[in-house]
Amino acid sequence: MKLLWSIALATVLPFAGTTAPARAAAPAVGQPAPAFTYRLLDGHQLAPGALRGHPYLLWMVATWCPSCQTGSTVVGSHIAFLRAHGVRVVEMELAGDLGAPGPALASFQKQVGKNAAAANWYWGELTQAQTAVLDPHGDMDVYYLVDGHGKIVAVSGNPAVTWDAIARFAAAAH
Amino acid sequence: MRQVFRGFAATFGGPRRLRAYALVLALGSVLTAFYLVMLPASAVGGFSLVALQYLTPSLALAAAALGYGFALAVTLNAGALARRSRAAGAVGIGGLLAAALPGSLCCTSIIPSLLAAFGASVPTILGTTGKIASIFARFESAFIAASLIGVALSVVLAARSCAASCSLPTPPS
Repeated sequence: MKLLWSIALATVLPFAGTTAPARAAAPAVGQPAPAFTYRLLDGHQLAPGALRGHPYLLWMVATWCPSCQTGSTVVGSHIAFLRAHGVRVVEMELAGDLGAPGPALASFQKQVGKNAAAANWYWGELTQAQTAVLDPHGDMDVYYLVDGHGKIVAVSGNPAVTWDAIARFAAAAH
Repeated sequence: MRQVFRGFAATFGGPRRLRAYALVLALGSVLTAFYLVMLPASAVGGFSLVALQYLTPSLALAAAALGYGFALAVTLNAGALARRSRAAGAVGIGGLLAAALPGSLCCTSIIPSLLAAFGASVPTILGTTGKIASIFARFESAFIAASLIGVALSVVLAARSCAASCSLPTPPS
């Protein structure tokens, strides 16, 4: 019987997707994105006004998360494409890396290469309160696609897998 | 060690050797294909064919070793007709499971979903998810190594079990 349970678990686990069941309320598609002022890695602040009128990808990562690193590399390889379409990337480290502080965000960013310094790519850290609003489910590697009107048009995750959706968003935003 | 060789000889040198080879090939290929996607899955946050882009030679070797190793253990166990083969089965399944854990539990929504299912509050989820999920990210190689050891052990146990219960092929007169 134990073996049967083990087999069932082994079968189910890998196919458990990245979409969490509905629990605490996170900002949803159709709603305005929260107008937060973000604390950036370079010490500056990113005020809501700086994003107003621009479509952007608001992405939450943990620095120990391998898929976040992979996704950053994928986005890095397309950052010029996003810039050409007027799309900004706001990549934010979740507060406390969800309880397991990983490497510094600066070293995480370094692994992306020189593209990480693109003018349309903002790197920063979320406060605990921002994390609780933007990611109440505690998922990592999730993002919001926000249109030029500040409205959320998609919520997804793992840009390494879902890059095509981001590219379509960018193409439509142009 | 001699018992292990006897187990192999009984299974792969006996009258049902063609069936044994076919089982190893079929089951091994299916499991290897699965692990070729599963082992690099943590790089993309879940089971996706995109993970194949992040397959390294060492992960590919590990996938083949896990897939065909477990198929070998199953075939040897089948030869032993489950006599004294429970330990081998448990160790082998444990090995397969351990290899699937990093790709399943790191960077997916499973852990926060489980925490929520157990009634954890938002602050608890936000402060605990990383503590658990990061273990699978940081020790991914150790999980894979443990899996390989588990599967290898299951092959040895299954072969010994087979040697104890299978009839060896009779040499031609």
